[in-house]
Amino acid sequence: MSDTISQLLGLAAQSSSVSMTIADARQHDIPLIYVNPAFERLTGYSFKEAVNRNCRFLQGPQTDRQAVRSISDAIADRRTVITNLLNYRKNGTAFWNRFQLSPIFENGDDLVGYLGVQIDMTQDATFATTEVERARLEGLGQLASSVAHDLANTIQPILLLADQLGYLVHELPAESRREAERSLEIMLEHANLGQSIVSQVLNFASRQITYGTSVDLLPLIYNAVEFAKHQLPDGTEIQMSPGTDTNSLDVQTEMDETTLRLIFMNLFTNAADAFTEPGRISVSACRVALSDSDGNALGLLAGAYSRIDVSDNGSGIPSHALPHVFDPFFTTKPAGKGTGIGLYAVRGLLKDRGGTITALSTPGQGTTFSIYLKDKSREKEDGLNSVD
Amino acid sequence: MASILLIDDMKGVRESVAMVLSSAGHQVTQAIDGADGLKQVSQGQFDLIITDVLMPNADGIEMLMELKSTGVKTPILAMSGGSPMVKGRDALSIARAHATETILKPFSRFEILEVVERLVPSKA
Repeated sequence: MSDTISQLLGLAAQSSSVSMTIADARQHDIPLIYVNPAFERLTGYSFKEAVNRNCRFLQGPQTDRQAVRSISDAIADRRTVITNLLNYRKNGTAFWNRFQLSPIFENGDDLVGYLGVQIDMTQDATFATTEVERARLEGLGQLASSVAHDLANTIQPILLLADQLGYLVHELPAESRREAERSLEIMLEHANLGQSIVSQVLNFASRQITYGTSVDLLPLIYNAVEFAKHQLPDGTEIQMSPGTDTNSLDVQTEMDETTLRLIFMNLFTNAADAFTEPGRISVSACRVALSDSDGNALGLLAGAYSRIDVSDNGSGIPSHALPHVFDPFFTTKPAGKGTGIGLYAVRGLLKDRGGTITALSTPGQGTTFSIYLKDKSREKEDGLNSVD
Repeated sequence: MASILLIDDMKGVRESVAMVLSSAGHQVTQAIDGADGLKQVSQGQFDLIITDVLMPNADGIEMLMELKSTGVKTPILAMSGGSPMVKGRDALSIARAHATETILKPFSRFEILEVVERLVPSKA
């Protein structure tokens, strides 16, 4: 390389607005040997403070261990890695670092160092929301599991002793016995309600659901609707929309049967709960091909999906509440009736399998939830490369 | 009628389970944590051990492992209030691996008596 180019490369690094570092792969623990002025501005550490240390000094209490592991794995494999991780400035404030680390080779495969590039993503609104959201939900999952555990232990004696007392009240005089029996009945009823809340939260938190199978969509939807006819409160009508094109729906989807049934039952029950008088739930299904931009708007990859709409003519969801219906612990149901876990769990389950759910509502007219399910990919089926 | 060792760090849970078991005719010895439980096992003869999974001091999980490694043949029923992660381990699956049977809290009077009957069939 000519001296001019070398000189320009050095100046480029010095003048760049992008933070860059070079670490020495030939020294123990791969210390930094160069950081540019943009790094100093981003992190608050001067050149002198940063060099001769491994760059892990940027990590802190909230740094995701998995992201850190992906970096050490890449170092072990001598390959480039790009990852998002929470780093800390000298003054203790955190920033989201889109970190890229690339090995520097001499004479083909002699590993001499690593080039690091740090981009501050904190100000990127979309990025920050998703990452913060992810971390928040993860924390909530753990919280849910520990709340469920404590609640289970709290309910346990009430459940057992109310039952146990039931055997003793026979000895009371008839008058007080009726009152005692009714009291115990109410206690048991509520302890049982507590028990069902615990198992709902636990099911969600531990995701005791089998993954890895696919299912024929159409029969499952029909079954779920038939099943719901017997389960929903009297006065609630549920039916497949007559316009559903059954031929086009002969597809397999990336979701197992149990999970999908759970999702449908959750949506049907929610719809039924929204009725203040007898109401109607209508279910329709269609095929959609999402382009890149359609997909982006929904947070999905482009490709072939089935969309199932569950619509009700109930009271609708107020516009201020609509953006929050998928938030954990959010519920518009009366106290004791909703846990605020259902729709949150539904969305999580769908997202885990490459799908999603959206909600549209007109207060006074009703609500439509739309589920997007990804088609079972063909490459898994016959071993061909993806044709999408 | 079975002789049962019951281990739970929560007094209310321990006493209510003991009351139900006693009312069904079983002989119940109580222990307040894993360490106490291990001590009782070494001192007495039991037909069944019923234990909580998450407890302070030699917690339930460690006690379960210890019991298994010392070759105790007594059937063990683990009670669990879910499967929070404990020190990086999933408490419920560890309980499932080491106990004869697990029961999820909160359970009813009928459920616990049914499991106990199954693990220690009453002598006719």
